[in-house]
Amino acid sequence: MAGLFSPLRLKKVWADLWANELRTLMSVLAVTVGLFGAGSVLSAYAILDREIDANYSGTNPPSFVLGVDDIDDGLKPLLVDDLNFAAVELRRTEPVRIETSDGQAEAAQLRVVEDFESLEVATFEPERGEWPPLPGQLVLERSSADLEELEHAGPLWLERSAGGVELSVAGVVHDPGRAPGWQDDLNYVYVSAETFAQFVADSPNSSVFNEVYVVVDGDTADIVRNAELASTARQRLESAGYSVSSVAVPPPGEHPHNDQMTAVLFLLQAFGVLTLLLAAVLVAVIVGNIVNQQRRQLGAMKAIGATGGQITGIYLMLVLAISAVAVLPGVFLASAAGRGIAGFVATLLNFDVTDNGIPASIYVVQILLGFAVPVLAAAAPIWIGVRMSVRDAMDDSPAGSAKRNPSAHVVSAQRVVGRVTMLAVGNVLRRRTRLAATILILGLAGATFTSAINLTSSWLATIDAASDTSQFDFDVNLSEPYQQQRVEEALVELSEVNAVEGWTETVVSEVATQSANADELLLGFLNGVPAETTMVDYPVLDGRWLQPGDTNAIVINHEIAQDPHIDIGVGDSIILDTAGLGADKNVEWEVVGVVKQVGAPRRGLDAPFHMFVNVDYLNELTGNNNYVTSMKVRTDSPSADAQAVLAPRLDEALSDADIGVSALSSTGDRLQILRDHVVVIVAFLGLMAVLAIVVGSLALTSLMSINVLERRREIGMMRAVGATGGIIQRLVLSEALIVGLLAWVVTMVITRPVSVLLGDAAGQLFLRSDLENVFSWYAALVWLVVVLFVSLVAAFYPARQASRLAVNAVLAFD
Amino acid sequence: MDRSGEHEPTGFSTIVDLSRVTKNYETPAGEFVALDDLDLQIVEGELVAIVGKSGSGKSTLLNLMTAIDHPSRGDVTVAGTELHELTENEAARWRGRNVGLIFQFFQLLPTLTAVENILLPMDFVGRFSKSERRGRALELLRRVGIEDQADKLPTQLSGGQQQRVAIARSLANDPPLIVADEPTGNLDSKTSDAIVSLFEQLAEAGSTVVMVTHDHDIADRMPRRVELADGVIVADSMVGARPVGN
Ligand SMILES: Nc1ncnc2c1ncn2[C@@H]1O[C@H](COP(=O)(O)OP(=O)(O)OP(=O)(O)O)[C@@H](O)[C@H]1O
Ligand SMILES: [Mg+2]
Repeated sequence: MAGLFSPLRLKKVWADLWANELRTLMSVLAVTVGLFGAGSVLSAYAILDREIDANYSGTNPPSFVLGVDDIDDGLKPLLVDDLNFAAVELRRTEPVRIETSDGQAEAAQLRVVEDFESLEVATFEPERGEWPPLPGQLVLERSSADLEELEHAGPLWLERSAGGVELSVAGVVHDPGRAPGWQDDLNYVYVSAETFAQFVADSPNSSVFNEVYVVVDGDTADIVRNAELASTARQRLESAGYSVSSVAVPPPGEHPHNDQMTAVLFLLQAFGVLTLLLAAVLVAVIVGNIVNQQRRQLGAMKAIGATGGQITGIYLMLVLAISAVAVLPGVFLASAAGRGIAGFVATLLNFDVTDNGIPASIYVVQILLGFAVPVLAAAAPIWIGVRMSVRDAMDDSPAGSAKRNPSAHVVSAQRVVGRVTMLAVGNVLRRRTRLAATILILGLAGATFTSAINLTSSWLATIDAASDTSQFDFDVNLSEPYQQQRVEEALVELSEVNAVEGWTETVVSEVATQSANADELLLGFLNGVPAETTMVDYPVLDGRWLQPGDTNAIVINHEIAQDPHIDIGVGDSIILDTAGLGADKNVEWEVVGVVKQVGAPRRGLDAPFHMFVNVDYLNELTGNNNYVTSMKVRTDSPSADAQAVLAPRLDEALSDADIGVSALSSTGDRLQILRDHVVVIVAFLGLMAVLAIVVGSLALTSLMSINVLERRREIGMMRAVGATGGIIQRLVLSEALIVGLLAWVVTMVITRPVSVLLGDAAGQLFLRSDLENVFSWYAALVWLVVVLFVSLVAAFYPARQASRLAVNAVLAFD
Repeated sequence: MDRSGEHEPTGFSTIVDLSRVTKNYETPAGEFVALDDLDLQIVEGELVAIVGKSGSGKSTLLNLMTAIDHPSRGDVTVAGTELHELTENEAARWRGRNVGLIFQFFQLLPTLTAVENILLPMDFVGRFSKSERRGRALELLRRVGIEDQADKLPTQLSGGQQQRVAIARSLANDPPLIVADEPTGNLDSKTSDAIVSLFEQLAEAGSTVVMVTHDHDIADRMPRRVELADGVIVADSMVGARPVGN
């Protein structure tokens, strides 16, 4: 039997493709763009998947970390020899303050390592400079927030609560196992145990290390086993007389910012799928048009003996030919963009993309997609064509005959409004499905575009709202507890200082109980706050804020309440290890409220977990009457400039009074960093919007050229009765503008839900909080201008084509 | 029996046999009877003109005898095949082998050349070996007198030339029956004359030709004229010679 393909039929397909180059080009571009959208995400995913292994897993991350205060030489053998762990390494991590010689001060996290040259667990690599750092030297992590200033600032003064020391910068290291410092305005510094000894020269008996990093033997990916082994290790140490203050079991194989990457990739994937879908719609529209235009040919072919299979074969070849041309540039562009995206996400995670290679399987998947998606998209229109009977196909009534034309009633109004406009309105309404698809595609593009602008406004509004919840301009962390009155007196010396309030702020950890698993223990800041504080006014999400007379009532921030690994809410009780504060024993607290604290400082911890209790009761427990560790300072002028001037003077006033400061941060700086995060998000949405607008204008160009093509006879008639090329051109352009306007209306309808969806995604991603939604009229206005411009550009070529149709050629066309 | 099988010449046997055929169309105004209990037999080698006013049912009749449409009632047997038994695809295949169709508006594929248009039915049906086909297509073009136009696209041909290509195409698979719906409707009288002569030659060479025409001069030239009115045969020039119906 005669097959589904033959050279003669291939010749027909080829000739048909060239018979309308613009339409063919549109369909090729649609497939290319769709493939670009989906392929770039696939490629990025493939690269990142591999690079996470190469970067994060390559650091040999700890299976668990024990906090032990009194580490000595006898500890390691207990774990290595008795319990057979694969690797055990001692570390010390603590917040410090770095000062440059010209007085700049920055928050930092100090990490002390046993031996730079034999790192085994949570390893990092030298990036530049000297390696290993000599005694008296430190190295900086490359993602540090102030790397540029610190790296070449000369000797740095490191100040910890128990005194400071001057160190020089040996070089820069890359530690892919930690959350990038720039995201939290934090600097990471590393020193050897020998260097650290200079800090503690005056108290030689205190232990250098306070953490034990352990990698278990065998399967490291089993978190339950890791937690059990952590508990075994803890018992072993405790029975040997050590006091284990905390146990942390991080999720195996998960970078601390894993959820950021997941969220970014999810957004991208959703967008990739969307572009592919839009492209598929476009292909379906174009093939539908080809089939419709070739109705008579279909009839003729069936009349002379073509079977349904043979007809299917012809249009299948057509679609495959379009794919064949589109796949190569699509895959090429997708690979380039995929590498770009991978690089971008790598920056978010402080990764190095060591190998840009995209696995062959990803190319294969893209090629398959490039052929399969258009074929699937074209299936319906082809099916319709195949099903059409010879009689229907040969039906002589002109396409879009009266009953299918909803514009009939509009025509009577022609005299009232401009003739060309009315004609354009009628023409636009002619093919509803195709029109609806185009408007929807453009409308979605608009929603992405306006969302990018709305999101920026929402983001800034959220940060502003967050800044309204704290009425202090400086947060001064003291190096040790000081008499509140003494600190207050030193600060109010400065005339700019308006009000001060003393808090206590200490890192505490939850004590394991039967109800709390070792890997779900909370480690965060315990803030002792005056119950009638005038410095903060956090929105209460659940329960209530502190009240005077509260005893063991505790309020947690939303970061804790929403953390997936921690399960604490209002009404729960929680035992905190407050022994370190001087309390007799660990204290049980009852959670009375959850507050929203957007942009809470992380200060060197893995997460910005803050808890609030009544400072009076806390002092009662610890016996530290009227001692404070943190001062909130309100000033006359909260502007960033004024704060920058005032900061060193505050510092000076305190040191003049012999009060040690471990960190002095201005609220303005911290919020500015959060504001800057929006750039990342907007860059992202901007890219999406551009892609969507490209697909949208492709759709519009196809729509217009298809309309022109279908109305060749009509246009020929108009020219025959005297319409000039200019009038025809204006007619087509007016139609495009009307489509653009309709798309704008669609955008206005869907922009809110889309903005909220994207805003919440971005808010959860970076702030773990929904955004304050703002919808700007500015966005609507800008999009109106853009969409009208895009409409004109998209219709330019079809309009020119239409205006150049010669009367006789048009009327002869069948 | 091989329904899509090749046509075997069977002497002066009936090639088209419509018996008690009714065709109704569903319209918004209710059922419309386009053909009403109609009987018609055509013998191999006949040249038949079908005439009648517009809307009398001529095209409907042709659609039924080419399996393009099915009768509402009655049987249609053409070239030994009972058409109602055919599926859509079988009908297409059967048509490709047994019927050559010619239309008023030629219906050539616009992106294929004249010779390629003639090759197409052979390609679809798989008739004749691939090496034979091109020679045969050129031979058919010679028969209709435009072998020098073989490589032109339809738009580069005059109406008469296009219809000649369409006739050559209808002969591509050497079908026993040729059916033409107003083949001269779009041509001037001189060109029409030449086209009709072609049909006469075909009939002389043994083909059966059924042709709808509005042109009385042409109809009068035909050996047999069947006249339709409101879906009924009102006159048949062969009735005297052979009984119509039972
Ligand atoms: N698909 C259809 N649905 C409803 N009515 C139809 C359909 N096709 C044809 N008719 C009606 O059937 C009648 C016969 O139509 P047909 O096309 O056979 O006429 P005709 O004799 O070929 O006319 P003409 O000379 O104008 O081609 C007409 O009245 C026509 O309106
Ligand atoms: Mg007719």
